Amino acid sequence: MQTVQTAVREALVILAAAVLLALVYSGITQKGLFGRPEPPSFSSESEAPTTPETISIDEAEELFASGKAVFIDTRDELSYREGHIRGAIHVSLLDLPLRIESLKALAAEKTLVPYCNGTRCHSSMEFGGRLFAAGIPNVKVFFGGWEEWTASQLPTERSAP
Amino acid sequence: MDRESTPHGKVRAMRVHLQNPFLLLALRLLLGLAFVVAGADKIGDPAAFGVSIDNYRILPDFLIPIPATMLPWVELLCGLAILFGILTRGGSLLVSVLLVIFTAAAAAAIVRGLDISCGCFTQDPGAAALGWGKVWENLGLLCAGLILLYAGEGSLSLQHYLRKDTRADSPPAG
Repeated sequence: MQTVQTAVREALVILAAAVLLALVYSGITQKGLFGRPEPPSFSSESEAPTTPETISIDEAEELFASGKAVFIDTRDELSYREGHIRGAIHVSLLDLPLRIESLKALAAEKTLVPYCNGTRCHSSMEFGGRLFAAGIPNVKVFFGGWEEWTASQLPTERSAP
Repeated sequence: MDRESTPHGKVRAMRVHLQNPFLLLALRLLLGLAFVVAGADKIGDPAAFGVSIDNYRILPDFLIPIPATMLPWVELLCGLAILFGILTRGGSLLVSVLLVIFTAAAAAAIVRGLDISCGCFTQDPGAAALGWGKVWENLGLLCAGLILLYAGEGSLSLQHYLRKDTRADSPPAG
């Protein structure tokens, strides 16, 4: 029994030290828990010209209905297969360099609308930024993403496994 | 926990083998180094580790910064403790608990068909995909952790020498 007590006591000492160090480190470096990732801005005025426009759920719905846009799901593939905005294609950030030429061709006819999970994910912004940097101006990031889309009960579809 | 009370000779013999200081040192080097390396790799970039955790799709987004910040430090300190043989039982207990969680997470990810990398020793997204090999690897480390939890640090450890020193320094009882 004493062994167990010793082990638990020692474990708590290590755990406390680790948590303390982690908090101090995070506080000093501003990484991790106390990190401050810049919140992406929604207003188009404050945006630098190097980032693409972000659109609201209403604008996204309009674009969807007009058929002049291609939605790009930037989440992981499993999430995409489980459900995505109807007609959306799946391109992750990792795949982007390989697909950039075909996306350029696509952008000649349609607006590209990257989206990810919702306001807590940044891959759609990152994706849009990279498209923009690659010289594709016809990009609008749907920042509300999958969460807003499904909350509004707009058309979705699943992929066959 | 009473070692003498077992009637079974074989079990007693095995227990004696598990107390072998060289075996315990070897296990400590293996387990300690693995966790020092794993922890040190992640400490500098909690954001990248956060992405790795997120890939497992177990925790909700808002909780992820907590393990992303804390876990590398826990791993590092446990690794150092086990490596040097100070607070070995505590370190082994934590490491064993962590390994059970890691193994369950890895197995769950594989079963659910997630195509992700481990995020164990490197956060490079191009690293090899997570597979059953990782589960076996973890179970092996878990065995080492449990043996150390049971047997303690052994005589080839810092704690052993510290204890000897304090015993020599302290005035005789009575």
